[in-house]
Amino acid sequence: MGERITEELEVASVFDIRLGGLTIHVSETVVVMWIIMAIMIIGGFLLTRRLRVENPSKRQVAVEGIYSWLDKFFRDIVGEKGGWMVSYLVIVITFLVISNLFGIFGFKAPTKDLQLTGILAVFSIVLVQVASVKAHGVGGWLKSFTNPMNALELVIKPLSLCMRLFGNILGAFVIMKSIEYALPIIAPPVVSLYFDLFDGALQAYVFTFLTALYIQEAVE
Amino acid sequence: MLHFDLPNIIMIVINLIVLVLIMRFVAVKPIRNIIKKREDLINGQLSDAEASKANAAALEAEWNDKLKSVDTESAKLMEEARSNADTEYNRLVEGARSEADKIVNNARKNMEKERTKVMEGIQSEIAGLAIDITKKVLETSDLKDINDSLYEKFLTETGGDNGSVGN
Repeated sequence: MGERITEELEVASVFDIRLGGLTIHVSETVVVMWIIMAIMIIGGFLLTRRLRVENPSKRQVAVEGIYSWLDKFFRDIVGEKGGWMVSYLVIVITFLVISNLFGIFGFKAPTKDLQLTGILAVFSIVLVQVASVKAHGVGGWLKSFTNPMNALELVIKPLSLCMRLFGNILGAFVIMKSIEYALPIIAPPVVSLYFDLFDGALQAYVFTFLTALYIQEAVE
Repeated sequence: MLHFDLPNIIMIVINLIVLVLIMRFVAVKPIRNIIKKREDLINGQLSDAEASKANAAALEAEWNDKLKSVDTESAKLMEEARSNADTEYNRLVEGARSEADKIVNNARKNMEKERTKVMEGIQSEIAGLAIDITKKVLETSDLKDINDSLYEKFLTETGGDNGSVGN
């Protein structure tokens, strides 16, 4: 059983691209990301077609409602100065929710790859620093590092962000697989509601919520 | 799970950047636009409503002012008309009274004159009558011998003092 889980956890390369003498092994993470990107972009395009100011369709009301809810949620956290970050946060939470739930459809969730969560965490911390520079100027930003905690947080924050997301998705995956092996009949769908759906959405929320908090701290 | 693969990392970074940029353009922007447009529309309608409300209030105030001024104006006019009527009435009454007085006075004077004239007429008539009677009496009676002087005296008494006879 352990071997099978380990095998499932491996990020295999799906196909190779040869560029001259260089061979690139395109990993599952990248391929699943492409699928998710296609779904998001096409879905986003289809859902936002023919929007009307008056007499909106049910689809439009739903789309607007969800977007407004997320927009308000992040805007309230990051404040006026961090307003330019809101659309990034909305897109990332959407991407993370879809990614975390993608395991249900038999794909390997890309958030189970530490490389992706690490890159997202680096993005977050870079944006936090950009927000800080925007709010306080380069001088103010550099000055903030005279406090050693701030300098340490440059490493701590992204590390905790990426490890938390990766660890939760990985842990949920390991537990789900174990339950599938141990109790294959009734338990998996019930437990999956928590570990796949709830935890997946929760971790997407936590990741973006913390990013927004860091931004708020930075722009204050 | 735990491996480091630079080409894949680069691809993931590019994927994420492309995803964020495209989603911003494809989904976020249209939704924001439509929400903004609707907000503008609602705000426009609200400010329109506010403006018409203010307008209505101003009109109402204006009307109230006008009504008030009309009230005072009409009261003033009524007062004026009343005082005019009073003076006119007084003037007319005064005129009528003086006219009536004049007429009455004239009538009195005329009456007086007439009376005097009639009195004079009556006196001379009476005098004539008296003379006639006296003549007849004298002619028919045997009093021809009555003293001429007495006769004369009677004549002078009746003719000379006829003003006091009527009184």
